[in-house]
Amino acid sequence: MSYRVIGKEVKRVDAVNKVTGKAKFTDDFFERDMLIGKVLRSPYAHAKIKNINVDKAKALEGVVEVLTYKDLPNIKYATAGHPYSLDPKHRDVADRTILTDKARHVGDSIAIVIAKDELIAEKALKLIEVDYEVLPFVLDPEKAMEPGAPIIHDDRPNNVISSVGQEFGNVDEDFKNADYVFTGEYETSVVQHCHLENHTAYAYMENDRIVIVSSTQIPHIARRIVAEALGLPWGKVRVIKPYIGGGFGNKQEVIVEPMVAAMTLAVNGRPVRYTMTREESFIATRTRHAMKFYMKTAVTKDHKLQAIHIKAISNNGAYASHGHSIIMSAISKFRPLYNFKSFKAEPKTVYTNLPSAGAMRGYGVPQIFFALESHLDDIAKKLNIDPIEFRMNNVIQAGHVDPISKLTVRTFGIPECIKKGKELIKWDEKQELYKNQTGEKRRGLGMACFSYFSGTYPVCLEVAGCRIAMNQDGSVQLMLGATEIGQGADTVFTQMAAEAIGIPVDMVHIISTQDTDVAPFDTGAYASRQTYITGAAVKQAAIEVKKQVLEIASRKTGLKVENLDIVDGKIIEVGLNRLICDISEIALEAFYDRIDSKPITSDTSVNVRTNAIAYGVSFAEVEVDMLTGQIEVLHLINVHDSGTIINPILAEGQVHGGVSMSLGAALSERLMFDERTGAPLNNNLLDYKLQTIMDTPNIEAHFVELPDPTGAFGQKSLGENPTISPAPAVRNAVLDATGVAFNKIPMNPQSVFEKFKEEGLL
Amino acid sequence: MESIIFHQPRYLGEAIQLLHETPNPALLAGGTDLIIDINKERKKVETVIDLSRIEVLKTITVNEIEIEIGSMVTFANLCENPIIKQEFFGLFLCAKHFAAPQIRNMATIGGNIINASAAADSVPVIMSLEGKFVFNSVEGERIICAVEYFSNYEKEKIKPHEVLTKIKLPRKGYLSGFYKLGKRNSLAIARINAAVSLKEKEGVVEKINIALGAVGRYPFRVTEIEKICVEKPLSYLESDEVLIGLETAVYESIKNRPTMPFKKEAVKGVYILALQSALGGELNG
Repeated sequence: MSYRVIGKEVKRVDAVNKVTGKAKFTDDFFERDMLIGKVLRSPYAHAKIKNINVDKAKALEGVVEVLTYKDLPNIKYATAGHPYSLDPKHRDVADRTILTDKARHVGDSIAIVIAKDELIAEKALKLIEVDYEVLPFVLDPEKAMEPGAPIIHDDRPNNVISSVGQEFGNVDEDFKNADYVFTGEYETSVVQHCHLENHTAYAYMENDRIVIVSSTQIPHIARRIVAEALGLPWGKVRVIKPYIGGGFGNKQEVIVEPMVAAMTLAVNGRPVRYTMTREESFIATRTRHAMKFYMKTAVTKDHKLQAIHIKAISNNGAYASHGHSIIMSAISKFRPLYNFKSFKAEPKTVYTNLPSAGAMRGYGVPQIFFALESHLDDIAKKLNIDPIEFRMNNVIQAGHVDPISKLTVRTFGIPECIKKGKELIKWDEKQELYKNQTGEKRRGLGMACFSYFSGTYPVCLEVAGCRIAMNQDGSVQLMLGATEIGQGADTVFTQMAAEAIGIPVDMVHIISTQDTDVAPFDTGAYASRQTYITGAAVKQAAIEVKKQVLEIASRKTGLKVENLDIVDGKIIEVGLNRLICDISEIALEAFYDRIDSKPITSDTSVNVRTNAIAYGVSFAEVEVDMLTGQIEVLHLINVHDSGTIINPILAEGQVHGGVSMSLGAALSERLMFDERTGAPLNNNLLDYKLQTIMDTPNIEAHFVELPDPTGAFGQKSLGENPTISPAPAVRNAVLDATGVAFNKIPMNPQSVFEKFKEEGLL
Repeated sequence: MESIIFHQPRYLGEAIQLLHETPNPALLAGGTDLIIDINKERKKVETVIDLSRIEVLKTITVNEIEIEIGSMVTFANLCENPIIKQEFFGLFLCAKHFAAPQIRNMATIGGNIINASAAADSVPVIMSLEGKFVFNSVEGERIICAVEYFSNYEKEKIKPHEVLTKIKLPRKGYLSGFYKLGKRNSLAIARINAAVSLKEKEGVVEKINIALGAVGRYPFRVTEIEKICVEKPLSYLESDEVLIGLETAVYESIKNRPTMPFKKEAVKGVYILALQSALGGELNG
């Protein structure tokens, strides 16, 4: 398939606006008489509010209103940005109220102050008198499941949110007959998204409706959840999403929107803004689940994987948020990669008194692949075989059907990805070079594979809407419910519309702001779904527009529609390649023909019931300083099978960002808590060691383009994918360099040193 | 937050007079710590005296025997100064790896010293270069060497009416180096840092100064180890005797800290990297 616009390095449609500072983000909008909201947060990890007195705060000049749980409807709701489910059993756990009468983590929301300005609001927070009954707390999920552990939510007395698992084949039988059985224990830490723009929103009332302007990935879902949290009809809420400064899943959560809605309701509809500080963002939004995996694997003597038995514990923190969906995603999305005869997963998602974990780029999958790909390297080492050959010996093939989800693998680029990565990093040559090192600095190579889905089908609904309206000059407005969150969605949708209609990119005007009153229905940016799912809607709408244009051209010329085409904004006769007219002539006729006037528009929606499995591999080269425990990543190569790449330069950007996020988790990032109090120790960007550009190695992004037949243009997912495999690749490279298997990340100098000591290397 | 009285003197004399007249003033240098502490209400301040307009504090002057660095010289300034790069390479490296570009543009060497953090990057370098601090007040000038200032901190620390005006470094032609171990390569607070200054003749050590930071309440020199290195071949500097000496020094300094087992080992690598940067000169810059 040859394309004119798809696959080209089209400049981001929002590039100029963003670099010149013209692009408006939530905090760039101002309303008359805007008030400021602030939230009082619990200093205790677990405490009942015995009494709360707001009189002094209310009396402070400039304070307009102070709210506690007593002032708000006692409605429990769920914050996860999933599509609504008609099946009540499939809905998220509704376990929180906007303000609480019991603090379940340090940072839980206790009271709201609404004041004339921020300083007054902050002063008023200090005047609120809360009498807490401090309760015992628990941070470790294994301890939380022990009898007698503090009960965090009364309806889950064992603190287990869910322990639903999955299996196929006969694991017990396969282990009984196994030639080899290997076990391993792997653990990841709590990390955070650290999007540039903190959570922020403001709300006001227009007649009896609440309007919320918010930095969200999911405006349509936010509207529903705000209505649920306040017990309002859904139509009474309108959500507007302008440009947003990153989300990475943390804004696939409805966190500040119900708060600002409650605030404006409390002050007769005056506008109220609530913007979190970075310190709040670390503890009062979401984190990535820390997970612990116990893996047991059966292997035959010719090194074929037979059975895998996974026990896993996911630390969910204080509120369910996305809850068990995350570890379910992990145990589902890793499956269509290696050929296991039997599989059994027993995951548990557990409440603790930590800040809530929720959606974060990769949705549980980075955690499971850290465990699995580390485990496979450990097995290869014990069997004394090449880790790449071991993997190649066990991968699935195109045509594979997952026994549980029934998803079919239609394109499988792993063998090509591995081949390419292996050559690029000079695997064989360097393996030879780095044999038998004994010095202070040791180098090594490692690799790791992954699989990921394009969207959430078959677990959730996948629906996307698209509306296109043609202007008199033949250009079009492209309206979507899907959101640009920095990932480049607007640009790739623009390319898709331009491609499918046959007009240049600059004749597509995408409406970047989603307003739930006018934007078509789409559930938003998550699950790496938009290019695949919304892309299908864009193509369908564009084809409909093209058809209408050609029908008018046909009427004009007497030629059949199939003999006409639109190329670069011109109507041509196919075959002769003869120019008939400019598209603007057709558009003008559509608008103003005295008899046939009917402006060209399409308004469509797709319900996608396929899923395209995307793949990739990371290759890492590291140098370990044996004296200080420092790990330097010298080179990192990601090779992706994401089907057709719509925009190579944006795709490369996705890979750079994702790799950086994974390297942070591998080497330096960990949100730490005081074990004696449950208080965060490093909820700021100085002490939380997000990778800086000085820590970022040379990252290479490569693509193996196998067009997937289910993708509108052959595309598969890419957004979250690059975050999955770098961490285990680096871990395996450290194993190669030093012989030491790190089964817990991050591998910061102190933990590396301690492990070296334990292994007798020092 | 209550209102704060803010002074911005143009001349050093004016600043000294203000210091004399004002009870408990806070001196504002680059503000990368003070402003944050005020905003976060970690520090209660009634009067701020901003030193940023006093030109004399922002200069670097050189004479035959020493270089004088004004206390308001920023880390970015230090990176750009050719004499510092040529003759005080350890200080150049320290400045180059200090925090991040935005902070290097604001933070000053004086602020780094007076803030007296255990992990202050410039202090071990100044100690290894035999640097001195010059304080001024209405009473006149007080000069104290950096090592003495921190080893006797409670007695010698800056007085409420004093201002640090200069840091003097003798031009002794030392080869000097610095290494910082952080949790990342930029915007990292040192877990351990080490500064080495030495003089050698035909492969023999004539003099060496080694200072360590973030392994005690304040940075310090390891004079016992320095002494045994004199008149030894350069290769001795990486010998087990020296490394074990450093390990012991760190052990003694932070015996009861949970980070001790890590730091007493890692200090060896940090020291070796500092030493190599001194001997390797610009190659490692």
